[in-house]
Amino acid sequence: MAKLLAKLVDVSVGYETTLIDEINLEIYSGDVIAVLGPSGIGKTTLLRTLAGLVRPISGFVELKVKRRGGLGYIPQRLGLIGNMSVRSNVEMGARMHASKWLPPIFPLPKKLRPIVDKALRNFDLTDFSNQPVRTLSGGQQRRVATARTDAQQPKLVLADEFLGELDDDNVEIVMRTVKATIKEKKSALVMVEHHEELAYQVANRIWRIVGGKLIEEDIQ
Amino acid sequence: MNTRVFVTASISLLLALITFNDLVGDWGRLEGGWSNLVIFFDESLWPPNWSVLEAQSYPVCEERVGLFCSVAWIGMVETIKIAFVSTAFGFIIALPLAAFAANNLSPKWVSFPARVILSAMRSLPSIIWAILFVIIFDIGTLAGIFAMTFYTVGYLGKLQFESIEGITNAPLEASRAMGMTRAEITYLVAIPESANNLLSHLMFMFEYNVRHGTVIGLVGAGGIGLYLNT
Repeated sequence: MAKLLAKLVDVSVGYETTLIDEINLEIYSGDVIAVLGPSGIGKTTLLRTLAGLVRPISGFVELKVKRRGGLGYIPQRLGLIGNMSVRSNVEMGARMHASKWLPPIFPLPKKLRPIVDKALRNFDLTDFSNQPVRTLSGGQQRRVATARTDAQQPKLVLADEFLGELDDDNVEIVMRTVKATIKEKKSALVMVEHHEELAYQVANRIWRIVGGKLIEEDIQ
Repeated sequence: MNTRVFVTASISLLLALITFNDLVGDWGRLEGGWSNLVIFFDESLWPPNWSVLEAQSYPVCEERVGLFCSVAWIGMVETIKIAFVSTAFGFIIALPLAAFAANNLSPKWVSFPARVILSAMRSLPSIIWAILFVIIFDIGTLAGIFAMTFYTVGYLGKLQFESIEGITNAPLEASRAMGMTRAEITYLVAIPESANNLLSHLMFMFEYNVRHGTVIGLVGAGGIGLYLNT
C-alpha cells in the first residue's frame, strides 16, 4: 500500500508575490510526478518550497520523511562540488544515508563504501570516480548528481530539470535506475521538466501550472 | 562605459588630484629630491656591509659554511619560521571564524559578532600587536609569532569569509535540503568549493608575513628586523 510522504495544505508559493496559490496535494510512495509549465511560472519555487528552502507564503508543507537524509534535492545547477572527485561527491549522499551523524572530518566508514560503489556502477561512473567533477561533461555531471542522491537513498527526491542535458542513452540509464530504486525503496520523485514528451513517458502523475494554479492532469 | 560610471570615475579622480595637491602643499620640496637619493645611496647603501654574511664571533660557529652562522642567515631563517608558524596557526584559527562570519553559512546573529572579532583583530597593524606582545612576553620570537598570528586571523579571516560567500548557491541548497548540519555544510561543501581561493589567500598571507617579519623585528619581536635594529 502506498505510503503518504508529503502533504501540501492550502500552500501558496512565491517570493514577494504569490506565484502559485491554493495547492492541496499529496505525494505517495511510488509516485513519479512531473511538474510542467512555462518558464518563470513557479515550478522551481514550488520545488524549493517542498525542499524547505523557501517558506510558503501561506499554508504548510507536511513532510513525512526523516529530516536528515530523508529528502534528496537535485537543483537545476546540480549543486556538485566541482573541485572534488566524483566519488567524494557521491560519498556525501552516503553520509546522509547513515542514520547516525558522522563527524565530517572523519572519512566515510567502510560499511558505507559498498553503497557508493553501487551508485557509481548504477550510473556508469566507475571509470571516472577519481576525476574532479569540473572536468566532466554536462551529462556526466548530471549523472553524478543523480548518483549522489541514489547513494543517499532518500524517501522523496526533488529534481529540477535533471533530464534536461541528457542524451537519449543517458535518460535511459538514469530513469531505469531511478524507477527501480523508487519501486524497491518505496520512495517518490517530483521532477520539474521542460520536455513534455519525456515527462509523459517517465511520470505516472502530471502536475501542470496554469495561471497561478496547480492542476493535476488525469493521465490514467 | 555608461555615462554614470564615467562621471563617477571622473569626479573620483578629480577629488584624488585635489586632495593630493592639498596634502603636498609645497611642490618646491621636490627640487633636489633626486640628488638626495644619490647621496643616500652613495653614503649609506654602497658599498654593502658584507660582514652580515660572515659568521658571528659568538657563539662559536659549528657549521662548515660560515654563512649559516651569519646574522643575515640566522635572521632570515628566523623570520621565515615565524611567518610559517603564524600563517599556519592563523589559517587554522581563521577558518572556523570565517565560516561563522559568512552570511551564506550562518545567521546574522552569529555572522555579525564574528565579523566584529575579525575586524578588531585586523584594525591593529601587526607592528602594534608586536609591541603589545613584546610587553607581555619580552623581546623574542614568541612575541612575533603571537603578533603575526593575531593579525593573520583578522586579515585572512576576512578574505576567507568573502571567498565562502562567493560560492554558488546550488551546492549549499542541495546540502541543506538533504538535512546536512552546519558543520557538514562548512567542511564538506563550503571549504572544498572555495578551496582555490582559500589556498591562494594562504600563499599570499605567507608572503605578506615574511615581509612583515622584517618590520615586527624592529620592535623586538624576533626575525631579521631585530638584527637590523641592533
